[in-house]
Amino acid sequence: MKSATSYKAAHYEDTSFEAGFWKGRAIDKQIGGSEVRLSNYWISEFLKSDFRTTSALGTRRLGVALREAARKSSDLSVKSEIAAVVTLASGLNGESFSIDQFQDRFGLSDAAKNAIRNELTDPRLSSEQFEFNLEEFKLQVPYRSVELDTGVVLSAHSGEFEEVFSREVIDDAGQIVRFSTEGKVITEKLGKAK
Amino acid sequence: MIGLEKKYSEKFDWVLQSLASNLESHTQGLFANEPRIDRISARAKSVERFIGKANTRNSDGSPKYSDPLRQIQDQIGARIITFYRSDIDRVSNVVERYFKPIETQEIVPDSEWKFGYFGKHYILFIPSDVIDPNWEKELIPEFFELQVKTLFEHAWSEANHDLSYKPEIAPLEGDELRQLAFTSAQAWGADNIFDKLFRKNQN
Repeated sequence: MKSATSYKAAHYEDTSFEAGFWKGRAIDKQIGGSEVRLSNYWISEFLKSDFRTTSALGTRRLGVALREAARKSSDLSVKSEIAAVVTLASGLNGESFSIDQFQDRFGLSDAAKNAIRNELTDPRLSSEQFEFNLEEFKLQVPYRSVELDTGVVLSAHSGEFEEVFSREVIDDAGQIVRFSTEGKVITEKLGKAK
Repeated sequence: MIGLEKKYSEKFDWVLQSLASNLESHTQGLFANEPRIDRISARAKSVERFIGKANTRNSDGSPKYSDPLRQIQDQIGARIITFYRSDIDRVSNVVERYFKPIETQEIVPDSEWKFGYFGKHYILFIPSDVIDPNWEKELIPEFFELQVKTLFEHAWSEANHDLSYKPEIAPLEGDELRQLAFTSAQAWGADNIFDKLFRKNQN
């Protein structure tokens, strides 16, 4: 190792040479600017390995945990943090990370992290690496909705919400907001009251 | 062998049955929006069947498995049963999307002049989602076997297994085997006709 701060390392183990399927852990400290991602070429081409969790399964886990955490949380700031990272996640297609690293990357609060971790069947799943798949993510978190105390519900594709709605805070306390959007009316519906 | 039976019995009671149940629910969740699936099920291999398989010998009389607890990969077996043959490819795509295959095998009779077992088999990594963190690591299998079959393929293989692999009954011979092959051919024909009619309605 030439440098204590810039290196790659991998460790494999199994109890059997004959019948075992070796599992390993890898660290990549040579990626410039980010400690989040593992370089895919190193895992697949150099180490001839692959992530144990498929891209779709890992992304599904993340998407379901975000969706359920936002739905169940009664804390508005947690809901808002999660809604923001759902929007930002659309720029991560093809990158490799764990749920823990995803949360750190976007600087989520401890409350939001706990809400997300509580939605995993096993807390250890949050450290499993996977390649983020935007197509799968959209299947799991297709829409982002904002409900106002006036009864109005605004919704849009999760990755496009910030683009199609502009938000303006109109009181000193920062509580009252005005949303505006533009578009051609395609359909109007009457639905049952909640 | 008594030691092996005891070890597998403990594994069966403490981990495998719950693991099969978790895997069944997990897989059903992944396929919740997929049409024309008759059933998804998972089971732990019984102690009796495991010991029977562990005792299998090669043609030269040597034991087939030197470390059966690790080498027998269908200790957990799962099945996805579809309506039509066209559904197999669609279901397989979903399987490969969410699970890591170690082996994939299309099992068909070894000659076009023969009929018998048909089915698509996978050996897949057991996903971490179905593992209870309180289980002893040594008791958790790494893989499970998944079979993807049509209703007719499944029906034939169940009846064939029941009639052909019971140690207490005499093995089938001659025309009896031909009769089983005949029922396989009928199931194959029924699958072809149903699939043809299904695809016609799709167009």
